[in-house]
Amino acid sequence: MTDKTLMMSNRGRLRLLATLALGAVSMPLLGGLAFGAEGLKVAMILPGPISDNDWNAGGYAGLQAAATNLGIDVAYSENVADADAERVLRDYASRGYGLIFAHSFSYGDATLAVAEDFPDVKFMAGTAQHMADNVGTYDNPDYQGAYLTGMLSAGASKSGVIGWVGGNPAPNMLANYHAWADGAKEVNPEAKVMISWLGSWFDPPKAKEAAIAQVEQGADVLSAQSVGVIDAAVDKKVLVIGAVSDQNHLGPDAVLTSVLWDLGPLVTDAAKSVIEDRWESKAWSYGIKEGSIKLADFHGLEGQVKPEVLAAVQAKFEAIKSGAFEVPHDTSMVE
Amino acid sequence: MDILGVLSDPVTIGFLQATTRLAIPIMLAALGGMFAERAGVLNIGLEGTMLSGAFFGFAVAFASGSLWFGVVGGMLAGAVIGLVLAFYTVRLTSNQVVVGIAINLLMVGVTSYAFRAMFGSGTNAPRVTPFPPIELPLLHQIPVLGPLLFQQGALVYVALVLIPISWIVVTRMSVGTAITAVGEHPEAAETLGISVNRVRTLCLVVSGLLTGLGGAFLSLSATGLFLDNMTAGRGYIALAILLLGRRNPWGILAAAMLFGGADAFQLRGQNLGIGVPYQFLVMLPYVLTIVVLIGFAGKVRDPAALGLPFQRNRAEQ
Repeated sequence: MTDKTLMMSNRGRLRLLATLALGAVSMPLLGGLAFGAEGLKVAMILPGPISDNDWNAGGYAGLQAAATNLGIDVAYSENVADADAERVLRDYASRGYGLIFAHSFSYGDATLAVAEDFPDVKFMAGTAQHMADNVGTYDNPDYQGAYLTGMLSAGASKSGVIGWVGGNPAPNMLANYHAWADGAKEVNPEAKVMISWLGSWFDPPKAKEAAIAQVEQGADVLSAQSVGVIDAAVDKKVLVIGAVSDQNHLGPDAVLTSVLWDLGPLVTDAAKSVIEDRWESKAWSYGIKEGSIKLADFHGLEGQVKPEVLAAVQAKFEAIKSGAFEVPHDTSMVE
Repeated sequence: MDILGVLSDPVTIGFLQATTRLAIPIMLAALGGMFAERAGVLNIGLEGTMLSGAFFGFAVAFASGSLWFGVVGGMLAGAVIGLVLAFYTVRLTSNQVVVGIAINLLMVGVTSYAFRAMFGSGTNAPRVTPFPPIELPLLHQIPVLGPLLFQQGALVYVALVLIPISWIVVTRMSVGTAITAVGEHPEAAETLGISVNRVRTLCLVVSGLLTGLGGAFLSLSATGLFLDNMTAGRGYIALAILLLGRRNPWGILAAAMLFGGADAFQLRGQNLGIGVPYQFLVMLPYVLTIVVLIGFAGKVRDPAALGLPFQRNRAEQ
């Protein structure tokens, strides 16, 4: 091996040197391009499929909205396993993406590790616990909407039992559950709130079975935090609250309303702040006040809820918007 | 409280119905795995085969507007994967475990890609209306067995009929004897004029048809939708279930029902507020499978040629 290197011809050595030199010259050039104001590229990695009509769909829609609003290049990788997150993040960072969204709380450690090696790239870690100089966090404050739908659910329930089905107890899921239960208790202090975990994020047949079990045990209004719950509500002819986008088309007689989540303004503002070089590491949160969390139309099902509850929900919405009422943010484990 | 009162309680009836719904897809995949293993081919690719059955079943049903066309589509997709498995494991005598794992990884990508190619990457996932439950006259009123077996969707009845059919094929017909011979002693089978390669290929195709049906059950009967990787490990559990059922159709039915029952039970247990952490309840069906498997492990004997590729030219030496 050593012999071979020594035996390399002069011309070969020259060629090698020239290549190395070219590389050295072009490296900062590429870097400059990547972080230039107009050349910002934004990437997002997501833990599940963008067709889930839920958390991942919300992230994807937000990214696309920013691309349209600012005319910037965006890219995404879906179904990224936690073990692959660091590799995929590193790949985007080294390919000149200036702002990268790690769209899962479970990517937190991987994001911090990659961020340390790419101090000029800004990272946004979704619902993560820790920040760094170039790592900010953002969340889905749908718990604010969940408080309102909790009030609606208790107001629409005849049995006084309502049920919530989710994948795994991630912080944002727990916040959603607690706010939903709190909202229900405000309308009906006697309300019984069921909760089921699937132990998996994407298992529609099981989510449906979990919801059917809740209905058979007395629940008559459900909260769909996993794909398959709405199908159970349609089968069992009970009401259900949709999530992220207006899911009424999945069950026109079943989906009372949905908590809408629009990540577009947050992604757009974050990208704009990077372009204008005023991005800061903080916990970004766009909720009801910022117009990112809303309730969908009732599509004619408002008759299922008592008028006084509807009025109370409307008043609560305004109170959250004006800051007069703050929805408690509780991420403690259930039981 | 009298026993009949408990048995006719809506919660009990719901539990029994859910047991079967949760058991059937795993049972079908395990039945598919049984045909392959009896012929001496370890079919690790059940998960991927099931996933392709779920996707193609859904896609064909969506495009044609007929659930039954979808069922056939899902089964045919499974059969194609069976042929691919046969090409590698029988024709090329590749390592069966490696090929199976490759199929599983490949199908996650293929189905996710095909889904986006067909339905776009929008956030508005398409749906079909799944098979509705059909109550069989008179039979559905039998306590326990009624809700368990006779208040189900059409595909459940298809699956249940496949159990005795499979049993007759593998234990009462000459083709079943040929399968056993190929799985136990392929060289001897070959000298008797049974083509080992043909029997194994046939078994892998049947394995694909049944496993594809199990996948189609998930997207056309259990739900009316397809989502990336929606099989969520059921193909792997099927490998344990077929072992637990001792590679016998009736045993597989019983083992799958045990698993489905445990799953239906834990989903209901979570709502009772009995103070057991949910993680333990979610684990219950898996723990139960492992515990029962340990109890049976000593008594299950694998086919002697299981996992061993057969090469005709080498066998003669």
